[in-house]
Amino acid sequence: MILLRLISWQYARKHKVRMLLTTAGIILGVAVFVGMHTANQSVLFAFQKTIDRIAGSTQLQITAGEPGFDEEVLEKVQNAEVVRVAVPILESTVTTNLKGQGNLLILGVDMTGDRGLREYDLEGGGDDAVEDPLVFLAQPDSLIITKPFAEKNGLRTGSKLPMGTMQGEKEFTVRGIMKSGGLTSAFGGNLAVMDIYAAQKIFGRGRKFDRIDVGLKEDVTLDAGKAAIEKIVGPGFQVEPPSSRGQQFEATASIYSLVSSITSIFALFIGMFIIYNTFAIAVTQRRSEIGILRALGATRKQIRVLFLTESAITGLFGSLLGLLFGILIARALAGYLSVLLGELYGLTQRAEEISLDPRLIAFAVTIGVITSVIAGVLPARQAAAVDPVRALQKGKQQSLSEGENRVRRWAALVCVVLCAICIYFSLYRPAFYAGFMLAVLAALLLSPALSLWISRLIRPILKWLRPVEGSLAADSLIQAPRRTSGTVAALMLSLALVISLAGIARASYDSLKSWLDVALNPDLFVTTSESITSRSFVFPAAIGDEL
Amino acid sequence: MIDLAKVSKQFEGKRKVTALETIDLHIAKGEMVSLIGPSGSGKSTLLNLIGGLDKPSAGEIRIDGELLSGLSDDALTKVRRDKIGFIFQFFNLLPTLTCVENVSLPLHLRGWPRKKIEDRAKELLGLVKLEKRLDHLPEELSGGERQRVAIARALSVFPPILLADEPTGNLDSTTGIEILKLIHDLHDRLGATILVVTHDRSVAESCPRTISLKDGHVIQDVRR
Repeated sequence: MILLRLISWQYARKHKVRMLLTTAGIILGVAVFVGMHTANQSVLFAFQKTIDRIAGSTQLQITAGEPGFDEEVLEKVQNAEVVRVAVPILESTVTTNLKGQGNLLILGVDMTGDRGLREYDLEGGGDDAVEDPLVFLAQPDSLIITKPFAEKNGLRTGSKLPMGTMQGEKEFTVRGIMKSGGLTSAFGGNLAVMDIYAAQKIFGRGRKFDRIDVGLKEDVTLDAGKAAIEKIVGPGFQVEPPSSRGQQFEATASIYSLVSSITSIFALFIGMFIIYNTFAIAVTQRRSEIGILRALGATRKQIRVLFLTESAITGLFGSLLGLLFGILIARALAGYLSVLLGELYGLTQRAEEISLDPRLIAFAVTIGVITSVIAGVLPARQAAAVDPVRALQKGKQQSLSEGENRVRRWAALVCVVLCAICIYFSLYRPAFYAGFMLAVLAALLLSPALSLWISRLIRPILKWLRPVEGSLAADSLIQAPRRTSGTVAALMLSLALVISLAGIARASYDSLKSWLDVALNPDLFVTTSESITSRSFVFPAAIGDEL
Repeated sequence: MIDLAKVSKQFEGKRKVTALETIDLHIAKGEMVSLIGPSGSGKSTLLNLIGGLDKPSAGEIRIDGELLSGLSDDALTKVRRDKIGFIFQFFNLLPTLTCVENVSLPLHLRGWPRKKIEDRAKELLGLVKLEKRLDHLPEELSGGERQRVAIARALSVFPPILLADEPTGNLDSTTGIEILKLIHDLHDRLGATILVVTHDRSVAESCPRTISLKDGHVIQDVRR
C-alpha cells in the first residue's frame, strides 16, 4: 500500500492527462453500459407503474388482439364462479388538438361496476358525476380528466375539450377532475375517463370491448382463476395479469439493451487495449525505478502486485467516473427512449426518476475493474521480469517485447480454420457469432506480427521522407511490437465496431426495404390513425364501398 | 563475510563475452576493500554478483555463510534486502520522493511500522548531515548531497555489507573526497564490510585493502 502512495501515486500525479486518457476506455464502456441499461430500466419501471395505476386492483385482463371482442363475452365472464368483479374496458389514443399536449389516452369504462377495481378520487363538486353514474351515462360527452392535465391546460369542471373522433373534431365536457395519485400520474396525466358505451360510438368500435378487467374472489388463486376463465372464453383470448403488458414492453426495450451491451463490451475491449498500451509504455519509462526497487529489496511479486493494483485502481476510478457519466447518459436517454417507445405505443410515459439498480452498479464496476486488471497482467509481468542490473545501467535499453512468437501464429491459424468452419455453417446463428469472435481473436493474435511486418515495410518509406526522424520512428515501432500492436489492436477493434454496426444497420435497412417492396405493393395506405401499432378508430364497414 | 570460489561469469549474445574467470576471493567481516581496474575489467560485474543482482555462470558465492548459488529470485532478494546496502555512481534516487521518503523506501519494503521508519530515516539523514534537507526533492540537492541521501538509504537497515559502485565517479573532486571521508567515517563507526568499486587510484588507495582486476582476473591483492 505504501508503495502505491510513494511510487504509483507520484507517477500518476506527474502524468495526469495520460492517466485520464488511459481510463477513458473504461469510462466509456461503463458509462454506455450503465446509461443504456439504467435508461431502459427506468422507462420500463415507469411504464410498469403506469400499467399498475391504470389496472388498479385488477388481477387478470382478458384481451383478444387489436380488433377486440363482442360484448357477450363480458356476461360469460361475469357469471364465472371464480370472478368477483369483471368490467369492460375500451382504450383509445386520441389527439387533443391542445397545443403541445400531444395524445391523450381515453379509458372507456363502465362506471356502474368499474369502481370495484379502480379509485376515482374526484375533487370539488365533480363527485356527483360518479356518485350517480346515470348522470355520467346520460351525457355521452362527459369526460373525467386528471388534475395535472387540467392544471396544464387551465381546465375546470364544465370546461370544453376538443378531440379528434370518428365523427370529426368534437367537443367534450369535463365533468370531473381526478385528484393526484393513482390513475392521475399515468402517462404524465395525459389520461381521461369516459363512459365505455359512448366511447364505442365515438371511436367507431361497434359493440366491442378491448379488454375485460377481472377481480377474482378472495379464495381463488391467480392460476386457478386464469385457468377457469380461459376455459370459459375459449381459444383466441389472452388471459394474463396486468404485469404481462410490461413484459411485452420489456421485449421491445431488450433490443436496445442488447445493442447497447454489445457497444459497451466493445468499448471496454478497446479500453483494455488502451490500458495495456499505456501500462506497457509506463513499464518502459519506469524501468530505472523498477530496477532501483529491485536492488533495494523489492521482490518480483511486490512489483507485479504494484502494477496490478495500479491497473485495478485505474479500473475502479474509470468505473466510478463511468457510473457518473452513465447516470447522465441514462437521464438523456430515458427521454429519448420514452419518445421512441411512445411512438410505438401511442403515448409517451416519461421516466420521472432514474432508478439505479445496485446489482447493475456492482456488475458494471466489477467488469470495469476486471477489464483493467486483465489489461495490466502482461505489463505487470514485464515489470516483474525487469533485470535490475540492466535497468540500472545508464544508456542500456532492455527490450521488453519479445516480438511475435510461433505459438501465437499457430493459435491464430487454428482460429482462422475454426472461423471458416463456423462461417460455412453461418445459417445457424450461434455458429455465425462464434465465427465473428474467432475472426476478431485471430486478428488480435496476429496483430503483433502484422504490426512488426508493416513497421519493417514502412521503414524505408519513412527513412526516405525524413532520414533521421523517420528511421527513429520506425525503429521505435519495430523494437516494441507488442506495445505497437496494442495501439493497432485498439484501433482495429474500434474500426471493427463501427464497420460491424454500420453493416448491421445497412443489412437491416436493405432487408426491410426488400420486404416492403415484396410484401407491401399498394401505392397508398388509408389508415384510421397515425400509429400503425395502436389504432384509435375502426373504419365503418361502409367506407370500403365509398373508397 | 564474502567468499567467492572459482566464480566465472559469461554473457551470452552474438558473441560470448567472459567478464570474470575463476575468481577466488575472501573478504573478512568489517574489512574495507577497494576494487580497481580499467573499464571492462569486470569490477562492476563482480559487485553485482556479490550483491545478488546477477548470478555467476560457474562457481560459488557465500554471503555471511549463505550460499547464493541455487537460491530462488525471492531468496536472493531477501539476502539483498537484509544483508546488503548499495551505493550507486548515479545515486539512483527516486526523483519524485523527498529525502526522507527515499531513505524510507527499503524499510517500507521490509514492512517496518511507519513511525519506526520515520524515526530511522531522520536518524540516518542526521548521520550524513542532511537533517535540514528532510523534505527536499533530489532535484533540489547538490550532487554531493544526493550521494549522501543514497548512502543514508544504503544504511537504512544497517546492513553488514555495503557495496559502493564508483561512489565518487559522478562528483567533483572536493565533493568526492567529502563522500569518501563519510564512507570511511561510517565504516569506523558502524563496522560494516565495505567494498568500493573505483577506477580512481586515490580512492582505491584510501582503503586498507585493494584488489586489482584486469580482463576478468584478479591481478593484485594489496593490504596496507
